Order: sequence, then structure tokens, then C-alpha cells
Amino acid sequence: MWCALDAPSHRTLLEWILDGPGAPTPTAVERTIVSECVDRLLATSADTRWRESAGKIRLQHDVWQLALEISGEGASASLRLFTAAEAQVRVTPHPVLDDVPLELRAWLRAFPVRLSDLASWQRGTVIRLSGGVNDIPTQVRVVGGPVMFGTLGCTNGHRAIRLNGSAARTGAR
Amino acid sequence: MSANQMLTLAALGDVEVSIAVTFGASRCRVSDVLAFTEGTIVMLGARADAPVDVLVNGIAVASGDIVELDDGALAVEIRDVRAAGSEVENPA
Repeated sequence: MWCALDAPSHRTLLEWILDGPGAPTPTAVERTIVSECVDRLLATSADTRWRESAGKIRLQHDVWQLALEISGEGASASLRLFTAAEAQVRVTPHPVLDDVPLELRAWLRAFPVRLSDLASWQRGTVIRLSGGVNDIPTQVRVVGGPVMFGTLGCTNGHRAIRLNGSAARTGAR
Repeated sequence: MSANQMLTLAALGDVEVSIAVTFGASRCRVSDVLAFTEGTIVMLGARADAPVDVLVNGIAVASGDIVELDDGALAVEIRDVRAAGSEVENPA
């Protein structure tokens, strides 16, 4: 908890305690007197001690703030109390998605063929593809999702795709 | 052919359809896919010499073997033509 006490309020508290004005610039003794006064006003337990710190304090937290106004004898002192607000973070559980399986499919990019040519296909028909053995442009799609680009190859006896392009989302299902 | 049939296949001969060849599939986890970068190698389930499926507008119509032509180009040699196609994931 922090207590901010500005100079006029400091002076007013001191004046009440001394029953008369203090020095124009508070002396060390006067500061101690006011500090003990604040201690007695705000102590929450015998062990709580306030540590005085002059100057501006930059609070690093969200805080609750309480303005305490003490009035009497035509004067008033203002103490501003701050305490860190414990953020009430509601942790909404999210499903862990890391292990969710996805299906990937690798395609040669589609190309057009006339139906009359298609009708003549039979065993042994050779369909020429675009690209050579080492640079077949291939799409790898997360089924229902984005497409990545790569080239077809072979690793350990299995087909494999080396990705070479960033993913692009398509509307295709 | 029905006497009421208006069109023959010959009349549709010039219609272009989209052909795609699928090389295989694999299953990954979301975390695997999110870790993909340029150069990542995605292993497919299919063996290198396994037949590929040839799709027409998303319908598997044939399977074949990947062959290399004399000029270095790649081709699919039809091994089987399917009388009744089965629909699979339609490529873009």
C-alpha cells in the first residue's frame, strides 16, 4: 500500500500535531513526526511500518485508490492511499489443439483436358504433366484448409514434398 | 441411349474439365503443421512406386504410374480406368 501526502497536507498534519506552524521547509525531525502520525493513522497491525519516500512514485500496477480527507480547525489534509489491485483474471479454458490430427494431401496442380480426350483414356495412355522429374510443382493442402506449395521428391522409399512456398488460404473444400 | 436424350458425349467433347493427380496423403498434428517452414519435408504415406490417382473435377477416374518421358518430362501412364469414380477432396 502506498500513501501519497502532498506538501500542504504534510504541513497541515504537522501544524495539528505541533499546535502551530512548522518550518517553511520541513526538517528531518518534523518529517519523522508526520511519518509517525501517518503510521498511527493507517497502521493495520503493530508490525506495519510506513517507509517514507519523497518525490513522485510511478506505480507499476493497476491500483485501487482511496482519498482520505481529514479536516479540522479550518484546515484539511488529504491522504491518498493506493493498493495494488489484484487482477481478477478469469482463465477461460481453451482446448489443447496441438495434438489434433490433420490430413494433408499432395496434388499436382490441376490442368484442363477436353472431355473428348478424356473419353479416349485407356490402360497405357500417357498423360504428360507439367514439370520435370525434379521440379514437379505440387500443392500440399491441409484438407479443408490452406494450401502450401512444394516439389515432389522421394525419401526413404516414400513420396515426400519439400515445401517452398508460404501457405495460402483458398475457398476450396 | 434414350430416344428423348438431347445430347451425346460427342457434343460435350470440347468441354474442358479439370484434371488433378494426387500423390498421396499423410496425417499430421496441428503443432506439426504450424511448425512448417520453407524447406520442410512432408512425408507422404504412399511409397514412391505406388500408383497415383487421376481425378476429374474431384472424381477419381483412373490410377496410373508416374513415368519419365524421353525429354525428361513427367507423365502418368494410365494403369486402370475406373468405371465408377469415387469423389475425393477436390483440389483447387
